[in-house]
Parts: sequence; structure tokens; C-alpha cells
Amino acid sequence: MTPMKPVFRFGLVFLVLLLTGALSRAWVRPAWKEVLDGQPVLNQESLGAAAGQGILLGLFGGFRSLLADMAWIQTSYFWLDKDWPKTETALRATTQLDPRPLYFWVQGARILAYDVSNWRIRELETSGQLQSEGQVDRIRAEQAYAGIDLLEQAMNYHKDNPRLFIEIAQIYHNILKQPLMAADYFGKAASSPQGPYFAGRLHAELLRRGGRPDLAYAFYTSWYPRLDPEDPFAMRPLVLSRIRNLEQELGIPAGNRFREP
Amino acid sequence: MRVIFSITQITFLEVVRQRFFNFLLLLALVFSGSSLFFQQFNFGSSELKFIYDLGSGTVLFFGTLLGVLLTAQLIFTEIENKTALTILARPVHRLQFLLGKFLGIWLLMWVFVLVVTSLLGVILFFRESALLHLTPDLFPDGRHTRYGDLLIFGLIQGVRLGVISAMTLFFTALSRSTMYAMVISFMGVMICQLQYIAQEATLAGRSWFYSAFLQIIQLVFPNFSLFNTSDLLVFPSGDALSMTSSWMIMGYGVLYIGVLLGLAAMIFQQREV
Amino acid sequence: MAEIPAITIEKLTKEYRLGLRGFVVRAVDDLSLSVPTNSVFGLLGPNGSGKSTTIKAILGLIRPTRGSLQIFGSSSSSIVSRQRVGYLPERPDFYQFLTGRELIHFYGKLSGLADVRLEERTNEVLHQVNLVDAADRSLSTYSKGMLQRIGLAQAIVHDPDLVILDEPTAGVDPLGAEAMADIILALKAAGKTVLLCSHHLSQVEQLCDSVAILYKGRCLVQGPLEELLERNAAGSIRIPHWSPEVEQQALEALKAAGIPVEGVRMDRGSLEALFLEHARKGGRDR
Repeated sequence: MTPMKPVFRFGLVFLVLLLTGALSRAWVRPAWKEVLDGQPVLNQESLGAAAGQGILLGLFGGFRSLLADMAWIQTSYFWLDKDWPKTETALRATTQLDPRPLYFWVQGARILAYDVSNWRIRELETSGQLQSEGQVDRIRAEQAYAGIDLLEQAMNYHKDNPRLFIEIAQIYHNILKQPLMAADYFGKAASSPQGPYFAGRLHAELLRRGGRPDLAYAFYTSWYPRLDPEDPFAMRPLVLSRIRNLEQELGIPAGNRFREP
Repeated sequence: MRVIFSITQITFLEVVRQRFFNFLLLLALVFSGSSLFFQQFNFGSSELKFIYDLGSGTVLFFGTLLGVLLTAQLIFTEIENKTALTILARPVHRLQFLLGKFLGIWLLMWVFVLVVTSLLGVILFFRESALLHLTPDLFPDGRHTRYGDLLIFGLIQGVRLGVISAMTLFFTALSRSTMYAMVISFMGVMICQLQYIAQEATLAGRSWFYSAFLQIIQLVFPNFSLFNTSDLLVFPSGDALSMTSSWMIMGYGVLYIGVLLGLAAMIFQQREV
Repeated sequence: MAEIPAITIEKLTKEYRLGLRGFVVRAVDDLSLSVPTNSVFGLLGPNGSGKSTTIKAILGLIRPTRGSLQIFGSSSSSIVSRQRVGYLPERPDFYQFLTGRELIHFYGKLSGLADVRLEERTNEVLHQVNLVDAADRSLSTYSKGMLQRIGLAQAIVHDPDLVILDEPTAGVDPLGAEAMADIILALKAAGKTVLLCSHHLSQVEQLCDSVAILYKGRCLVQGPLEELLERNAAGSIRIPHWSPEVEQQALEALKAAGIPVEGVRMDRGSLEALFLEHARKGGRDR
């Protein structure tokens, strides 16, 4: 067999690979779409200083999850040291490296909202710079909104996830002392797919405490018929008793009271 | 077939004795086992995903190293030791020789994937059992781990490593030294892995020349990002990878193995030994 | 009908292009030779003369730039031609983890021997190369001589008609070289053709029927060994119990008879002969 000249050999190789790529691409498109859908778009700008060459190569080398896990380990180490600037940088890098695990967002938001505010306050106390309760409140508010901001970013990747709404609601309730905002988010959690029953109850209770028993009553009476009587977590008797309490509180006449379907 | 099988057998016996393979296998097992270190961080049920991520990353990383380094080194060792001469001086086609070599190496890749994935499965099982006992409220629906997906993961990675070995064989047929073959092969693997960027960049709508160049890269090089299915298996955050897609991905890999081996044989046929 | 030669080479030229500028090196230059069947043919020449290149071209491992090569009438580039060929390269490094028997089995399978025949032939060649006792030891425990002999065994396991040996006694002691020589003669006696490439000239002289001497890719001389040596033949008369007086008398007698004398040399016997004599004696006494 006469040997092929190198240029023809190269041409043939190129052509065969090109053809293989073109034909197989069409055939494997559904699988590629499925794999691609499972890979959220990487926000390279927000990775900032954390994204060195090695990290980028690792990401596209299929080590994205692993790198995010390692970044979370690093976050944990900084958290143990109570180094809040590094903790914040590391946990933001973690969520940007791999935004899919809900765990990173929820834990990250809790760190920002609760732990970091305590560390900052303690730092001011230790250094003698803490002069008023106002400073404490300001720091707590700053960190609370930082946590809420992180959770809202998470909603880009975890649309309508009730856990995120619940976390935001808890921050509004526990730190910011805004029961109506907390109620709003518990309500979103209750109305989202797979929303837990307790979120609905908390929504109504916080509306009542926030001075809106009328809204709480309206919610309960529209919600009660949709509760599954066979599901013990729905706690229908409890909800009904709260409806009755609200009817008394609101002075609703007997004839207008809620009738069980 | 007997010729190919004989060469496969010898190749497998040869590579399994390589200290390099044993070292990497040990390293991979240690690395996977070190995932138990995560216990101290008290991640709850997410610890299982961390263990899986470390194990799957181990298969990816060390498997790629093995695929490239062993394949390149093996062929050149045969030529330097003149055992290639003694084989090719017989009524053995060069394609039979290459196929036998490839199958021996691929068999070793399967052993590697099997060992590491099995260890991963064992670690996950025992750790999940412990967590179920310690924190049952975190497992309201029972076990989280989809153990069957580990098998699919192993199959897909085995095929991926086959493509890497076939690609290395192709570059080795073109190369004159082990080092050159290794370097070019690693570059090839990286280009295949970075297909994702090429696709994104093409969509970014730059100059026609740049787009055409990227399109050609996407077509000529196999798309290794397709094999990045570890996040869609075992602990999928959304829907798990469907069986149809799994078979498609494996079929894609097998197609490229065939094409790359054929091209390697064509080049090797004309190579002077 | 004239018998087809075992090897026919016509105007073989092999060029290599080196470097970016394509500098041409001619490893073999217009070589033509013919190796008759049932003979031992010596291919000689200094290092870099083109011997190994010629052998590789015969085996189809490299492609000639020009010219043709045939093995028993079939083109050497065809796979079929290699059915009848056995080859031992220079200093091969076989799979050390295999035993001698396993190695022969492996190569036997590659040559297409069926299992039963393979077993028979394995035992035969192990006897032939005198490695029966070491057959089930791994090659990593073999001496150089044993490795060369097992190499020869793999070359002949499929009973080829043509055996090509490239430096079969390289690095082997004189006893081992002698054993190798015996095997080569046995192959010839069995009707095989042997192409022998060696720097061990005394052995080539002992074994070969024909030789070709290469230098820088060209064939300087080729033909039956006896004829080639006779051209340079000079007679010698061996005188036992030599003394200067006896030498003087002999010279005067030859001069008187008009016979020219080129020189007088004391024949002390060769170191090789001394070694073999004592080594054999040592082997008998143990």
C-alpha cells in the first residue's frame, strides 16, 4: 500500500473527526440538554478573587461539586476561627461555584445573619468601640439583610423552594422583629409546592400578632377546607380552634361564623 | 480474535504490575476513604453528598491520569523493548496489535473504576446507616442515596476513560516520544473538557471567524462535558439522569472509541517501528 | 525449476528525512541480494552499515524508499509472508513477569498455532534450546544466555522456514555462543534458512554458507563464504616444535624453491579455544 502523504493523512483524520462530531452531536442532543440543564450558569464575575486558573479548569474538568465542597470546608475553618470577612468571602465563593445544594445557601445565610452579627458585636465590645445599643441594632440589621440578600439570590436557582421562604421569615421574626414581613414569607412558603403546614399556621399567627387578625382569619378560613383530614401534620382541629378564637377576638356574629365544609 | 485476546491478556498483566498503577490506585482509595474526615464538620445528611463528590472526583482525576500515562508509556515501552518488533514480525495486523493493547488498558480502567466505586458505595452505605441512627429526623423518607446510580456512574466513567485511552493511543501513534504523547494527550483531554466554554463563547456572538473556529473545535473534539454526570446521579438536586440519556452518553463514548482506534490504526499502519 | 530463494532483495534503498529541513540520510543504498533456501547467510558490517534496516525492511516493519523485497516469492509487506518467518531482534527485553513457557505460548498463539500443537511445539523448542529445567521460572531470573535462547525459542516455535537472527550472541559468553551455534546448525540440518547478523566473525565463519558485507548502506561484497575467503587465501604451514633455527631452515628451503613468504607468525592458540577447553572440562568435572 502506497503510504499516504502527511497532509492527506491529516486531512482525512480531520474530516473523519468532523463528520463523527457532526453526526453524533445531533444524535446525543437530548442527553446533552439534560446534562446542561443540570449545570447552572457560572457567574464568573461574582467569583472574584476566588476563581484562579486552577479553579476554572477544575470546574470544567467536572470537579465543580468537589471544589464547592472544598470551599465549604474552608468556610467552616474560617467560621471556627470566627474570621468573619474570610467566612463571608468563602461562603459566597461556595455558592457561586456550585449553587445547586440548598444546604450552602441556608447555612450560609444563617452564618451571615446570626453568627457574623454576634462576632462583629463581640469585636466592638472587646476593642471598647461599642458605645450604644443603636450600634448593636444596626449591626444586627445589616447582617440580617445580608442573610436575606443571600437567600433571595438562592431563589434564582431554587425557585419557589419553601425552605428559603421559611429562612427569610425567621430572620424577619427573630432578628428584625418585623412580624408582618415574617408573616408574608411564611405565607409564601405555605403556598409554594410542597410547602409545610406549619408555615401556614405561622403565617396566620404572625398576622394576628402583627395587629392584623382580620387577615389571619381570612387566611385560615380559606385554607382550612384545603387541609387534608387524613394528614396529622395538617392539624385541622388546631386550625379550627384558632378560627374560633379569632372569631371571638374579632367579634364576628354567630350567623357569620365559619362553617366547616 | 485469539491474537487480539492474547495481546489483551499480556497487556493487562503488564499494566497491573506497573508500580505507577498500584500507587495511583492506592492514592485513589486513600483519597476516597478520607471522605470520612467530613464527619467532624457535622454536615448532617449533606455529608453523604460530600463523600460522593470526593469519590466521584477521585475516579475522574486519577482515572484520567492513568488513562493517559499508562497508554502512552505502554506503547513506547513495547517499541523500546523490541517486543513490538517480535509481535509485528509475526502474521499480526497492526490493528490487531493496537486493539489488543487498547483492550488490555481499558480492562484495567474498568478494574480501577470498579474498585473505587465499590469502596465509595461501601462508605456511603455505612455512613448513611450511622446517620440514619443518629439523626433519623433528617431522613424522613428513608435513605437518600440512590445506590443504583453508582453503577450507572461507574459505567459512564468507564466509557469515558476508554475514550481517553483511545485518544492517547491516537496521539501516541503520531508521536516519537512518550513525553510528547503524554503532553499532547493531556492537552487533548483539556480541550475536550472545555467544550462547555467553547459552546458558551460561540453563543456570545463574536466575529464569524472566531465562531467558525469554535464550531470546528466543538465538532472535531469529543465533548467530555457530556460525561460530567456525577451531579445528576446518586444525589441529584433536580431530576436524575434518565436511563435513555445514560445509554446515549455511553453510546457516544463507544462511537468515539471506535473512531479514534480506527484513526490510530491508520496512522500506526504507516508508522515505521 | 529453480528453487525460489528464501529472501530476494532488489535495489533496496531506504532514506530517512531528518529535521525540519528534511536532511536525507540514506541507511541502505541500492542493495540487491539473494538468500538461498536451506542455508545460513551472514549479514555483516560495522555499526550503522544498514544491517538492522535491511532486516526490518525484510520483515515489513519499515517501508523501502525504493526497491522490492520478497520472502519465498511473496512480497515482504504482506502479512501472509510472515507466516514462514521467525525473528529474534538484537537484545530484546521480553516480558519479565512471564515464565519461559508462557512466553513461548504467547508467541505461539500469535503465530496461529492451535492449542494441542502449541503444547507440543513448546516442549520441542524448550528441548531444542536446552531450557526445559528453567521453563517454569520467570524471565527475570534468566541469565543473558538463557534470555537469548528463549528468544530463539519464540522465534522458532511455529516451525518457520526462515529464521532471522540479529546479533543472537550479543552479550553472551563463549559457551552460550557455542550452544547458539549448535542450534543454528541444527536448524540448517532441518532444512531451514537462517539469516544471521553478527559481529562475532569467527562464529560467522564457522556457521555461514554465504555472506554479504555492508558498509554505509552499500553492499561491498557478497557470495559463498568459501569463494570469498579463497580470493584472499594464503597458505600456512604449521611447524610443531618451533625454534629460531628451524624457522631459518624452513625459510631457506622455501626461498630456494622460489616460493614467496609474506611473514612468519607464532601461533599460540586462541584465548577462545583455551576458554572452551577449560569450561568444558570444568562442566564435566562437576
